[in-house]
Amino acid sequence: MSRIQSKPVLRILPAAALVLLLAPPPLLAETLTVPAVTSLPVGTAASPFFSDVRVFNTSYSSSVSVTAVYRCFLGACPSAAPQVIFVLGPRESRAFDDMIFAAFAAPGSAGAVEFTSSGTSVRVTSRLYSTAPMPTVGMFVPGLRASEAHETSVLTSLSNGLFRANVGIYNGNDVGVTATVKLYNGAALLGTQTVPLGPRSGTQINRIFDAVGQGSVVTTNAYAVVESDNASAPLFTYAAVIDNATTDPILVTGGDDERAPSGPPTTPQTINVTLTNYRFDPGSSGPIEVTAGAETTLIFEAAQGSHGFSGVPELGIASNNNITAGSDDGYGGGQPPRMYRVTFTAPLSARGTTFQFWCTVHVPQNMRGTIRVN
Amino acid sequence: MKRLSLSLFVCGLALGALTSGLVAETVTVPAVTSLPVGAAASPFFSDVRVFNTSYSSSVSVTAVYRCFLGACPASAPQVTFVLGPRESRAFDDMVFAAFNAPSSAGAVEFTSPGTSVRVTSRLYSTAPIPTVGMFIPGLRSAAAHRVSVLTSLSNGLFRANVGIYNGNDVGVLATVKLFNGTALLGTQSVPLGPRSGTQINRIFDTVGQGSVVTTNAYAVVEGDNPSAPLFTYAAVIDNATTDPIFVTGAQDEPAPSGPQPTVPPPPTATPTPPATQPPAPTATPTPTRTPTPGSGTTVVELVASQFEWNFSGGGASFTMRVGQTYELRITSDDVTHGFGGSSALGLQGATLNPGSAPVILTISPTSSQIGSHAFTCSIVCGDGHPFDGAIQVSP
Repeated sequence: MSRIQSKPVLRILPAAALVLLLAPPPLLAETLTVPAVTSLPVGTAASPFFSDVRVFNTSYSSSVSVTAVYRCFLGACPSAAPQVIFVLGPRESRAFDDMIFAAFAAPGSAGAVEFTSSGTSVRVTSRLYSTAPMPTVGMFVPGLRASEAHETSVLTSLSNGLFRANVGIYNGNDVGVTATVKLYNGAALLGTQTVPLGPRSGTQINRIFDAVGQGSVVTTNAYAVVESDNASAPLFTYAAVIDNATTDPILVTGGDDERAPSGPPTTPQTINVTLTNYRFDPGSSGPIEVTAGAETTLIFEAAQGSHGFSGVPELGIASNNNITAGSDDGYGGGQPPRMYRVTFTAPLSARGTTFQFWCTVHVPQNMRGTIRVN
Repeated sequence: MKRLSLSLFVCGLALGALTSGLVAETVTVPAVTSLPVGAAASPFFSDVRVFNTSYSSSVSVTAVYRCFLGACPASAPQVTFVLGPRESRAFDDMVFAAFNAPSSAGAVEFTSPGTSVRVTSRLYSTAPIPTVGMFIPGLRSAAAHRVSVLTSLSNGLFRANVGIYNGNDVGVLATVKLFNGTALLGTQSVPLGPRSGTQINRIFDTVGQGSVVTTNAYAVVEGDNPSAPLFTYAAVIDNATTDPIFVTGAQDEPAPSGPQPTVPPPPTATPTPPATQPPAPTATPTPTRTPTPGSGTTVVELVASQFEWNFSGGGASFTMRVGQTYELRITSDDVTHGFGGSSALGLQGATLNPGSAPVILTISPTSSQIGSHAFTCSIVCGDGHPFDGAIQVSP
């Protein structure tokens, strides 16, 4: 009896398997993210900015339904995320000029737009541009696939001085994260910014060099590392690098970066350096020893005379030309001593390197020292 | 058991082979240039940054300049350098400073072991406005496609140039199809040598549709060899500011076999003149290649070089007779030139890229066009500008 019953089952199973094999697989939804969009009409910002977006269906045979959701996080954001649903015919390119205003009715705001559709046939491109002071200058902002969000990303080609750089981050996850932006110039860590980002939200740190207190640094070869504190919540990152003369921007998309190696926890260190004629102590007879990755504070104090410190640009240590011993006029007056206190963090990449510095009053030939990064 | 052990051993060998050496990766910047003042209509430069993501290892990088436009060196120049851990190397005006190839354009391939190298660049102009430019990423090989689509193309207030780089060791015939909505505006086919490329400037003009005004066109670029994918891009430029954006080609579906959309006739750019003026020119530019001209058609080769026009080897002037049909096949012999066209003869202007397929224009002069019609090189390609040619129409 059981044998008789099993025969149909045996017949049905291969047939079902065949049906499963032949049936078209369900299309998985894909989301493309344009990480920077805006509509800032004249009067709502220092310069007007707009985003023109194009959405294209590569299929020659099938229409595709697309849901576009505006994730606003800057400016006059609507209370709920606006969305539009539209159908693209085969090979159709849909134009959304000034999309944030025209499609989402959210002028005076900025954020990201997520385009979700079934399958992988949708392509999204956009131009974010300004109409003043010159009509027009702008930058290409691509629609990014999920694989282009990274736990750690690096933004290169950053400039400051003749240019400025804004760093943007979009968290396309359903959980909040803390993003850390570290700005480097050569081996020097210029500064760090930490930003909490809600789910499906983001930020843009304008003038990142100013934001980390290094607005006077002039460079055309800086980079920033953006790191999420949640390994399973990667982030879309970009930098807008803008020519100050023309306001012409380019959009640098974040490249996948290595996570910084973990090491033993580093404790902050403070080192007192005494300046006399003609020595730094420590520094002149042996190097000032600092630990890579540790926040280090150097306190320069003159025991006699007037001195200066050249700084170490490679480590982000600024110079100072006024380090003097105090004077006593014998009546309880005189000049107080002028010390110099500077805090920096030597990057891990500087380990094993020795850097020179000198007294800016007594010139390198007469009074100099070294810092070694361990 | 023995079989299992052998399998594990073989697997172990394979894994060992895989992990013993890092596979080389090539990152391609598909558009770089160094066009100093005087070398072109506008000066252009490429500033490139190369970064090593590793915290522990240096990496050796070989950068090879694949020049295909302008004054290209006889062999591909290259530089090899070592990036320390977390080092970012700056190459300002890389084509000139690193490759000593001013007045040229092409692509740069950065090859290194492993996957730790990132490349970014800005291609920019210093005139008429210093500076406007565009971001050009270093692209991994997966960003080259057999068929790619370039969206966000504009014409009218903007212009669009289409670029293709063939990073393969075999030659490819690339076909560019330009669409506006469902209309196929025109097609250009370009043979590309191995490790070579082209840029079709003003793609709307090139396909004979320069008068079309649009902000929502797209182009499809297809290679004829499925195993030789192509890097593609479009530079979309605001004519008012010359500010460009760089659209990277995205993977597209191959067109299904079957009837394809037809190219509509190019719009009439010149309004009908008043009766007192000569009749409208009858010449019609033909955007696609015509291998065999019709019977009774005279083929005339017109070659631009620095700094002269040459009609079929006979100098800068050519005489056409009323009632005869001529097929002008215009090419560049060295750098990018511009055929300025002749409104009186109904000849549209065109960009001439060296190595590209000829621009073909057909003309049947009428009695109202008898006389001398000068044309010029419309793209300033050096100090020898301007240089002119002429078509004489005789009875």
